[in-house]
Amino acid sequence: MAVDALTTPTLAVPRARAWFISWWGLVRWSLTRHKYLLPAFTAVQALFAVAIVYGLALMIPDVDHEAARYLSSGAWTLGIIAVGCVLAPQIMSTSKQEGLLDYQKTLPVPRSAILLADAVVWSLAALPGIAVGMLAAFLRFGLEIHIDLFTIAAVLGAQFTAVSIGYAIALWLPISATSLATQVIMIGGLLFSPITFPADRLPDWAVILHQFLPFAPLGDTIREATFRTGEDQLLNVIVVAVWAGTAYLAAYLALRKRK
Amino acid sequence: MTGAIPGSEALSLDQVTKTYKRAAVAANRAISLTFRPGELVALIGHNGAGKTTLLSQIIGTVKPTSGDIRYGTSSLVAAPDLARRIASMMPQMHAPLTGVTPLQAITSIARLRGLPAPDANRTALDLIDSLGISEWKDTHGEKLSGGLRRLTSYAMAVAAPPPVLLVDEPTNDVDPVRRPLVWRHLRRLADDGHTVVVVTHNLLEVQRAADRYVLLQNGSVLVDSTPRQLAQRARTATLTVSVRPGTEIPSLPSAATHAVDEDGHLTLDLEPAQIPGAIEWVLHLVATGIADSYALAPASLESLYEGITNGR
Repeated sequence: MAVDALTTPTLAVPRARAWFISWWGLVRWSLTRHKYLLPAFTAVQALFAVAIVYGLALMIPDVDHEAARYLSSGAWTLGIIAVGCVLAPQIMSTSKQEGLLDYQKTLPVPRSAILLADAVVWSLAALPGIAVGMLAAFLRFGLEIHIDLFTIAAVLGAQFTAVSIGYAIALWLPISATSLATQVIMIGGLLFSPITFPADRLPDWAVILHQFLPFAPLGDTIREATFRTGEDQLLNVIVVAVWAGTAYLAAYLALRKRK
Repeated sequence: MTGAIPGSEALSLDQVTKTYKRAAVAANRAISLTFRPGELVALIGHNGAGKTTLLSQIIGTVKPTSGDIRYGTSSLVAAPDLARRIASMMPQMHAPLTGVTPLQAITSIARLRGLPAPDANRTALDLIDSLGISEWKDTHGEKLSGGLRRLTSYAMAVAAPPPVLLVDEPTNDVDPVRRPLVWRHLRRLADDGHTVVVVTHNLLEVQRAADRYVLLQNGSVLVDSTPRQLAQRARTATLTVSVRPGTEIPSLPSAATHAVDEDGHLTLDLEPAQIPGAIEWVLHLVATGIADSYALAPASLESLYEGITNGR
């Protein structure tokens, strides 16, 4: 079985493929893997949005226009946080546990494509929930909701930020710590972040803290994008952009890291 | 799908050492090897000998502490993205198949490796057929047995195969009928010009298929040998005698070494000159009813392995 260099066929090295083609291949694989979970997830997200709009309104006897705007935009923002900072890291943790992530790292695909394939799938799956939440807000409170390119950009930007934070958590923390961190984020986001209520109900120190954490600025930009009350969003956009960039970079570096 | 980099280069490892963080000892120590196109190389050694670490460094998921890995003149340590294009790897723990069927999984990987959809589907079906798993091609991964998952994982690694194939324990859990199919397929890939590096503990199968054996022990290369070199090194034969329980063996023939296992089998390692005397002796044992049966065979890779590693 000695190898003869003269008769051994010559093989060429596969060329690097375009980023989008690799990404699309991973998206297709992700859609195939999650084909049963995705519709269920979309339905749950829609129910979640409706439950917040209708359920939280029950706790407030007289819902004025401002409270209605907070409850409505809060429902969509919490949906985005739930997908990005809870679901996405849990799915990434499962991938780590099952060896899928390590396997994907051996494939000839860019690390950023691995990062963005699942992120886009789950973010898109969450969009119907946000749309249903908007419909629920319109039906429950009769609010005028702006839906244009600015709204879409705000929602997609918020999703990218939340997913990047979630992935950074999942890729840098051990699996057990990831689960704990996502629970803390969800409890903090749901109960103590000025997303479903105005920030002035919190002590001053908490207001300042939330101005530099990502969740309240996310809620503020989405509220402004959908209701156009004229509040300046520059600082919020800067805070969100810094969080998005830092978290994405952290997640990307974690994926590129070699043992 | 092919590019400017010339093909069929040798894969060379130059003084590759890997020590993991917080590890007391090196997983690989100063390993220098060259794998050539068309070669089927068996990487053997005890658990923890550093075989999987070596493959992971070639594919670029583990970075050597020192040393270099080159494909032709290109450093794969400096360019792990190139490593993933020139090599594919079947992981030790089979590829994750949650939510996908073998056909879907193999097709997905073939497409990620650059095949158009119809070609990817055809390749997947051909692989499934050649590995004898057509019956389960549409069964979800969660419902597959360990052996079927491993075969699927193998097919994922060799679908649209790049020049270098790194295959970690491909026949573990696989039934005896399908194991030869895997080895035959690997042999064909090597004959087609691929560099095939297989980690395995199945020495009997390796003996039939590999061009070259690399034995790792404690992270270092202990033996790097072709079957011919190994045969020259192993100028011994093994005589195994099944002794009837409760009987005493009056005497032993001249032999290099001998040993008795727990089941009462007597094993003698014989030099060529010792074989005639040993045969005469064992025929006498059978004729007098002391022995039930015997077998004379050239020294196997397994016995050599035991001898070289001294049972450690």
